[in-house]
Amino acid sequence: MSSAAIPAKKFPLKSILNASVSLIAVLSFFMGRELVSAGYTWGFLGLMLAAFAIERFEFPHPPRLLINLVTVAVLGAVLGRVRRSYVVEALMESLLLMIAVKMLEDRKPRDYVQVVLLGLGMVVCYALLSAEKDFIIYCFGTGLAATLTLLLSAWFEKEPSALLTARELGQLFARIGVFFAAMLPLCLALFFGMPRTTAPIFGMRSQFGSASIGFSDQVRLGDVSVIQANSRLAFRAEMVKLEPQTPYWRGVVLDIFDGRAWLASRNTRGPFIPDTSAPRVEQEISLEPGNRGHFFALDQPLAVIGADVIVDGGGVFRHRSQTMGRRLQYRAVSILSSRMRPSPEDIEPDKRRCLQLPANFMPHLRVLTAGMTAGLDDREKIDAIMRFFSDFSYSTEGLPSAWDALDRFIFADKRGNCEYFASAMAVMLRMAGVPARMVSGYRGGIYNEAGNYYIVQEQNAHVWVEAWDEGAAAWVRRDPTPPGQGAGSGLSAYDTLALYLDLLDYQWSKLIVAYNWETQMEMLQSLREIIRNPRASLTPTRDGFLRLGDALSVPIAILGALAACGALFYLVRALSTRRPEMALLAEFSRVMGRRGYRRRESEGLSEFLARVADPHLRALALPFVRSFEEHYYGGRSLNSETLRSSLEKIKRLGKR
Amino acid sequence: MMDTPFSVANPCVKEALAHLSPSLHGKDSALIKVLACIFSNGHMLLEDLPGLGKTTLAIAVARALGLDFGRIQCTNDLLPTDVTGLNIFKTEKGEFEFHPGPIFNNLVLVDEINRATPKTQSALLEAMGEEQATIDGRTYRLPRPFFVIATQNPVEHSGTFPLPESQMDRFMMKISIGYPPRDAEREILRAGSQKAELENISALFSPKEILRIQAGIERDIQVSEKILDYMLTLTEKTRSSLGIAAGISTRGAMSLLQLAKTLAWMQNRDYVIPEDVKAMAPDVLLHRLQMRQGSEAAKRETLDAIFAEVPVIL
Repeated sequence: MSSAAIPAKKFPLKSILNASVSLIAVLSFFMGRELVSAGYTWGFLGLMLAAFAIERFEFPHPPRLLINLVTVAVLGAVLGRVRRSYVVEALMESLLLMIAVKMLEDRKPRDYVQVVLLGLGMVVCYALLSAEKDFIIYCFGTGLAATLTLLLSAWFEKEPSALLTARELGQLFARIGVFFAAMLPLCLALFFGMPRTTAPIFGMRSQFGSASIGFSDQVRLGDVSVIQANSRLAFRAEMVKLEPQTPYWRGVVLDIFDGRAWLASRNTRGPFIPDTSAPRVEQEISLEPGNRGHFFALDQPLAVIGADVIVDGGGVFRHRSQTMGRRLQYRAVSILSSRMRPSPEDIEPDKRRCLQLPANFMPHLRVLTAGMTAGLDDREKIDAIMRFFSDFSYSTEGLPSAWDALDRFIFADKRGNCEYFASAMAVMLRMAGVPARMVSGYRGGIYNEAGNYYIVQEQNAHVWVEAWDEGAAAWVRRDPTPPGQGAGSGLSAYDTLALYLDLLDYQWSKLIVAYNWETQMEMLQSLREIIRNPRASLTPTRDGFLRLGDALSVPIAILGALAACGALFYLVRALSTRRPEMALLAEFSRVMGRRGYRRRESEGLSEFLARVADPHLRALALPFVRSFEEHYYGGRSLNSETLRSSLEKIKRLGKR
Repeated sequence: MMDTPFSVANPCVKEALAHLSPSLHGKDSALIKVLACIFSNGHMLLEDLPGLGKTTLAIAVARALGLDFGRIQCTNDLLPTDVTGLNIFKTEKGEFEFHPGPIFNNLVLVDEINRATPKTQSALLEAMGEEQATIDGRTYRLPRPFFVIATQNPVEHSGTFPLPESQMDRFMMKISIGYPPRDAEREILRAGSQKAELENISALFSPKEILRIQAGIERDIQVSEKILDYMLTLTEKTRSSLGIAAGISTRGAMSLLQLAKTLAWMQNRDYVIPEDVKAMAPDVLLHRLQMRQGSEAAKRETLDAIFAEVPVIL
């Protein structure tokens, strides 16, 4: 009664719809901002502001014909730029443009649906181009807004001028929550299942004047001035956690310096002499596809077990082919030591190679080094040169970019990334007569406690120095680069979530993507064993049994995904055909059911009502039945108010 | 299906009921069905034992509706011309003159139709179906509205010519009045014969009005697609049901729909609901179903099962 007296605040349906569509547009803008050229994003922003102004100040909408003509022209221009390496970006640009156009128009219900489709298209394109964690936010955000828009636009079609009370709005959001929860499997499938472009299918984006951090088998200074952080996954290594030392992942040894760049010599070496006192660590590494050709393992790798391995010696392992288009799984055994004793026959040639410098190279540096290391032995020289870098700082921006980059780094800027530090140190060591070389690989990584593996990203790529210690007859790892790179300790809740998602992704790629002939054979073997001797195979070959479980989980996961898709399809279909009167009827059936009366499928409403013994209840239900029949059979417009008020009365009767 | 008594809301039907019920004790349900049948422009087969008031009902209805009343008592020597009329040569005029038979009335009661020979039955049924009679090559239109109530005795079989199934389809409804309830029978016994009173029933309607009502129902009562779907599903089920040899014909479905519309009108609605269909279904469908085997009771059960199977709201 009191609620009728005080007019509740009502929200026009259309403005809620506009808000939710705008949310889709804004999310699309942010997705585009990362990937699409700036002109388009700013243009999009301008159009959006224009749309907002039109809506807000009720300017006349531009005529549809004009909009359509302009759209066709611009689309033609955009699509004309499509190249093999530039498909998805062009697609995103055109999607953005079409969203903006839809925002400008005086929207009809179908326009809202079109914006939803365009927004979803943006998400798919984004998923193709980016493996960022932000994808989850965009996917969820667009998904929610899309569900809301779809529901509201269906309503909008029936009752364009509807006003919603705060309570109805709340119920609406609750319902969207439920629908969205059902859509979640699709989002996750999109996240994990989408072929994200680490392989060069769609072409990597490159921006002029900058490069992103990543492993490389040569180091060249002064080419770029800015290095972008790159969170692209390099590899995952399943192993024990190393505490407290930072893991160094050895890739390739760079022992040739030509004055500008560090390169790897093509010499093979013999196996190094393992230090028996140091701990051994086994790793199971899953290497993401990329253009590399090197196996990575914890420094110092004793052996790499996998397909197509070429042993270069000295802890370096190469893949038979230069480019690896698919994910590689291999096992590695490493010795956790910072000294490497080479096999005796390698010592002299290596030492010789690692003292070479171009003739007359940086004489003033030679003077500086000589002054610093005069009268010291090899070990002291190494320490002295390490100390020299203590007042240098780490930076990935404003790097010296010229032919004399090293000179500027040492004498002027005193800041740079690992390549500068390691190059400078190796050069200075060679000047001081200490054989030195660089090792390129990765340093650090995030340990995923849930899955017991290290996540190593491209931004963990690193270069360090190995100097010859004559007394120990070993190469000693020295890292002059100050920490500052990948030093993020203390994970936020968001990162924790990301770690769990990464674990899912890892399991997915291990079980689904790497599901191959071998796994199948293994599974078959286990199955045969179980059939042959079920009792025996249960306990002793627990490992095999577990593996069978793993293998079986693949078809189960696929079936589950199919079922989820089926359920989603059913839900969407039910959603699209479910009319408001049917929702009300379901509510009526529920309410009457609570009072003890269940209508049979074959029973008409009047017939059902005649069965109700309680005359009071019958009187309350009569308006509902009459009004429903009038609409359903008599073709009158739906009188929701009568239906609802009758329902409310029945409900209230139940409470008494 | 429902066997609940019909509620009537339409004022003119209400008035007619109030007008007739004093002389027709305990026959309200049958009376409503007769009226529905008339307003639906169909014919009715009354199957009952003698002495239960079939004739009384027919006469009372004819009176109240202001219709001419004709009666044919069927025997096995009844000739078609006894029904339709015949041409008689008038010597004074020197030409044939047509003498219309009892069928040229608005409401015709055909008593014990199964006693007439098939030849006569077929003449009668042709008249019912075509609303015309052909005598000596000349066709005469029957008066409008035209309505036949035929009766037959379900028990007596000797010397009868049972109506073939194909002819049963011509009757829109087949009902039986049955024995009156105890209280009603007490009233009848107390009041004695009311033949004279029947004569005094005044006309509430005229033939013209009845035609107008028929047209109005045809025109104004809405049948939604949902009802059509419902009816189509029902008829399909009768055709595919295992126990049934021949399901509902299209004419049967049309009759049912027509009656459902009239019932909706009688209840002051301008649209048909499934309950209308259900209410009329037994009287319209049972005599049209032909079972592979089994009794009348099995027929009813089969039909009930079909109705219990088809969902009302799709």
